[in-house]
Amino acid sequence: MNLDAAMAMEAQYRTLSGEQKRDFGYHTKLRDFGFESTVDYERAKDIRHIGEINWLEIGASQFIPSLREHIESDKEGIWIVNPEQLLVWSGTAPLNTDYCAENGIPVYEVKYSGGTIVTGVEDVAIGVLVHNERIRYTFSTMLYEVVAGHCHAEQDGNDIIVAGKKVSGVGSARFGNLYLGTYQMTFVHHASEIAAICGQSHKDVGGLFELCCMEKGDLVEVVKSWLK
Amino acid sequence: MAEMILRPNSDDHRSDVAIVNGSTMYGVMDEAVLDTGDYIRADYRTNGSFVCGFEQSGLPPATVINSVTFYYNTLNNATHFLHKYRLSGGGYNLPSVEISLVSGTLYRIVLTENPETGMAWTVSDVDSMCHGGLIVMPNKGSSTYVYQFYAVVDYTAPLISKRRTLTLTGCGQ
Repeated sequence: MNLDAAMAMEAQYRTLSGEQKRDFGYHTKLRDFGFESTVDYERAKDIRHIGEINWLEIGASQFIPSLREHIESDKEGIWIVNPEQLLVWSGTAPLNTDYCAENGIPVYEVKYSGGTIVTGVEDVAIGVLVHNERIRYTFSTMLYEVVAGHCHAEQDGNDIIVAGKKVSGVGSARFGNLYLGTYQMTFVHHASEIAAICGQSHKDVGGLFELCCMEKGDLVEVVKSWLK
Repeated sequence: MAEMILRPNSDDHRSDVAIVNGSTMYGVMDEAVLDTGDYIRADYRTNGSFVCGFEQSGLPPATVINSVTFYYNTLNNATHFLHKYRLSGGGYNLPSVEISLVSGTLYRIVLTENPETGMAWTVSDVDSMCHGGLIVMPNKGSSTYVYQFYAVVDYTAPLISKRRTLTLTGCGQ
């Protein structure tokens, strides 16, 4: 596949309109460069872009300050976030903050649109902050493909489901021109803490270690191979 | 019966949708072969809507229009789509009819009658139609894209009547 040549060709195509576009032979030219469809081609562009974004591997307490700094300077970023202890990522759903305070469980307010996440040192969260919103979808699919390489998994919207249990979900937010996706990858399911913090109505969550024989390192190493 | 595909060729109404990799809504949705590199996008918490005009059918006025089906090829995080169109007297309908999922992310609505008049479509209706959709977004941080939008007109061509000339020939003539 010749992505550079295809991108140069696309730039020319996007300047055309009407009959000129129809006569250009865009899809034929894409196939000549090794792309079966625009879906394949757009994904290849997204994957390249992901590989060009600066990334950091950090602890949970460092994530929000770093995220804020990137938003203030309108800068893209990717974070591999390793919780130092059992903690809570808070979106827009209500949670039992008294229980968290009594048990020394830190609550980090990411303010994404979505439910509360209870996570521990065995898990990992990946934050992707990008200008092109579609990259969040591509990244979701890439993570799904890693999991599906280890065990039977299904993709339900942004969620990854193994044996009927949600092992990964995405919190989404928009900050001006930047789109944030926070991908929570659960390896160990903290059932009792989830019930205490989120209430009894929480989704049926499972861990990748129990359900898929996957460890955090199996995933993180693959993700790092995508990044520069 | 026969079918004809009509593609959008003008922008009639746009509200809370972004045009990605193009300058007109119709221009990013009019391709014959799916191009996922350009599209219109509705973001979360904004119910984006779009209405486009279409190519002329070129059909003779006596053609019977059996139905007009609108197709929407999407990347969809919407709660649902509703059908929206321009009223002949100006303004737009109050969208209430849901557009159905066909498969994957392809949606369609089949209209056997002109929804404004409640009567069978005419060629004149088809040649002046402006249709689109209202994208109803959920309260979550995601977007819906419409990659491709087109109409399929199902029609029956009029019978061509031939005037017969009968010549009588008789003996000795």
